[in-house]
Amino acid sequence: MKKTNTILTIITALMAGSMLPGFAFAQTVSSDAAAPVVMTQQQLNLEKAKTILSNSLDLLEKHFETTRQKAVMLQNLSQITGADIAQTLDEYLAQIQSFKQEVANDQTSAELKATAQKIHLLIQNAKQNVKKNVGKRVSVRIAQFTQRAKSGQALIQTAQTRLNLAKSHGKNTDQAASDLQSCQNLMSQGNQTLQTAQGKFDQMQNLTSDQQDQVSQLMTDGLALVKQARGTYEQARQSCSAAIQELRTLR
Amino acid sequence: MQKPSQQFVSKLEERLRLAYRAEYQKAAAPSPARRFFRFFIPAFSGALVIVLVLMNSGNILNPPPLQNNQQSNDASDQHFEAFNEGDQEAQLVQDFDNDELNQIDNGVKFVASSNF
Repeated sequence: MKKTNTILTIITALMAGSMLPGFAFAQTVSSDAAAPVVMTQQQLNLEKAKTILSNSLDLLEKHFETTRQKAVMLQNLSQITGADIAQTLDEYLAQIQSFKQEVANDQTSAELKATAQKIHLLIQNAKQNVKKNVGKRVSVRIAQFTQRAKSGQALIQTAQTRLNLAKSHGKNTDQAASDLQSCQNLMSQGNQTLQTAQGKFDQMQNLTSDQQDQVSQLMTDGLALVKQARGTYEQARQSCSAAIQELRTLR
Repeated sequence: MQKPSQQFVSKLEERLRLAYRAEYQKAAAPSPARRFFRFFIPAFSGALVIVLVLMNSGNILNPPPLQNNQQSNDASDQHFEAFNEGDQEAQLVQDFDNDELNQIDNGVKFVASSNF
């Protein structure tokens, strides 16, 4: 009986020994299987971040391309070549292509985060430079308009001469004189507002890239002043028309 | 009675003629007022007509109508039409720096600041 027990013990020990490598292998397989799960999670996060950046770059490319088309159309309409918005956007579109390649090649989260930071800076710079370029264009337009306003001034001078003549002939020129005076005042006021607006756009050109907020504020202020000047000129035009109409009836 | 000589008669006639003329002129000479109406008015009205004709030919009294290029409406409208193009530039800025661009930027900033 004792001998039988010994034999069974040996057999059990042998069986256990024979199973040990299998267990060890199973353990290896099990640990091997667990390791890829951890790596996939990291990679998954990296891939998710890459997808976000890739989609962002695609959207950015479309957005810039749309703005570029509008800028080209605007340039064709206005014939102003002083500040080329389309050319600026072309440079940013080229950088977007470069960033797309960079995102695809990034292997670590640190690299990807650095690329994301560069894309963020590109967006901020693009915002600033597009506004600066538009500011330049509006500034050129203001200069053109100021030149044209001089012929308006000559028109007022002609009306003034007619007014003096009618007055010397004893005509009642009160209404025409009042309208003409109003026109002159409004023209002067419009010129002043427009020059202030131009000052804002000129000031904008001197700001550095870290003064994004100031660029936006100057752009908003400048455009509001242009709008205000336009309203004043419209009133001036109406007063001038009324004065000239009045002078025609006096003849 | 001795007949007067021809010389005496001629002299007498001459004196009578002068006396008669003096009397006639004294009686028939126009007054300054009549002289004014009869001479000055026709003369000055003629001169006035000539002056008026000259002034009118110089466009002093009746200036020509305003030319098309001098008319306030047309000129100003052209100016304002050109100036209104500025609205499109403002619209361009508004369309570019909009919510879409900010959302894209937010996504990029999220990646830049995340721990992964």
